[in-house]
Amino acid sequence: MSPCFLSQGGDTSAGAGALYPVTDLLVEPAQLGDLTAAVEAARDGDESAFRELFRAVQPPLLRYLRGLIGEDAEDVASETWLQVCRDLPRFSGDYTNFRAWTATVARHRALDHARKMRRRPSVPVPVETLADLASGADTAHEAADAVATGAAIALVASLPAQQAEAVLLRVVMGLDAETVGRILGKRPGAVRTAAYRGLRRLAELVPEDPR
Amino acid sequence: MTGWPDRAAAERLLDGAHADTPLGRVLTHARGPAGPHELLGEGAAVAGFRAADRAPAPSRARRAVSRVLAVKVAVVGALLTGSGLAVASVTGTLPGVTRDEPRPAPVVPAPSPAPVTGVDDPARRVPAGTPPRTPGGPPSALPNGRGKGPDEHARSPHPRRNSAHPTPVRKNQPSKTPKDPHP
Repeated sequence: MSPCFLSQGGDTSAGAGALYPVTDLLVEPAQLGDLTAAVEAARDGDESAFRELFRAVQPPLLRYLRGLIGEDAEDVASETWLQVCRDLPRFSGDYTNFRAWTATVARHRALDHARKMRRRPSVPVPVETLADLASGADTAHEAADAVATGAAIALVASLPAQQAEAVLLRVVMGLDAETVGRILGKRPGAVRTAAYRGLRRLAELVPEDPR
Repeated sequence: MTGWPDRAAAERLLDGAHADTPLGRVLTHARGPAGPHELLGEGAAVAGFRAADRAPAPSRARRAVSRVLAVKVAVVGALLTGSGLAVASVTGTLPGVTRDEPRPAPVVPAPSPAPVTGVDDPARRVPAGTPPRTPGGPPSALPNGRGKGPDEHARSPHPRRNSAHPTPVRKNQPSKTPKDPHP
């Protein structure tokens, strides 16, 4: 889970290397950045540390919430941060625990919100952007990145709810199956199955390269 | 190609591998860099952080105070209900207890079977004060022999009280006094 797995070979970190082959760790560096120090500083009242946490966690949190409840994601995210700020002095754990906790709070707020609104989230999939998305042609510009990210989230959100949530928590929030299982109240195996089925369905939606 | 990804490949995709495949590119976009529109809520979140940073201390103090108050209220309530029960049982306003209190009276005549009716009545007639003491005292005092004097003193006031306050006694007596003469 930590960045050192990338630099170290399989010889020096045998246990970690056995669990996480180096070739699988092609995750973006931002995902692997360990902000545990920022979590502890923010808990002690450090505002700049809190800003650092927000800038790192809010984008994936917003994408996860967009997949959960669609256009009300911003409102629920701000409710989530208010609760996180309030309960942060009593939080203990590292950066991964913090992301998991934030996702849990966001999920509860989203479910409350959906119950209040009494409507099911519906995220329309922009079908015309799927081809561009899969080809990866327009990723040079920030605007294109944002469009591609939005389209990718919308595509994942079009999956059945359990599959979408499993994929979003694992891919976007960067949490492992065990942690996602704790958030969703499921076994890790059930989370892996849901994510696997979601990816199978996504593979049918996007244009396939010959492999 | 319909079989792709299998379970192992799906796990690798979730971890960020196979980024050169269409599905891998979708997932890479999903975890792509943050856009400025995604950080619009930073000001509100930091304001919440500042507000929460000041709030915890008084809120904890309030919780402590409220806990102490809750304990006090519970203790006072328990004392009130307990003393209320005691007062009600002593004054005879508690219906369930007043019927129980005359029952200790048979303990007194047990050592002396002959004056059953005579001793029984004063014990029942005691309207207020010491009904539990009279049954409790004599059994322990009588075997020793030392307590005979105090017992006589203790018994003697009761008839006086009964004669002085006959009205409350009649409530209990009418049902029981008719039974005594028949045998």
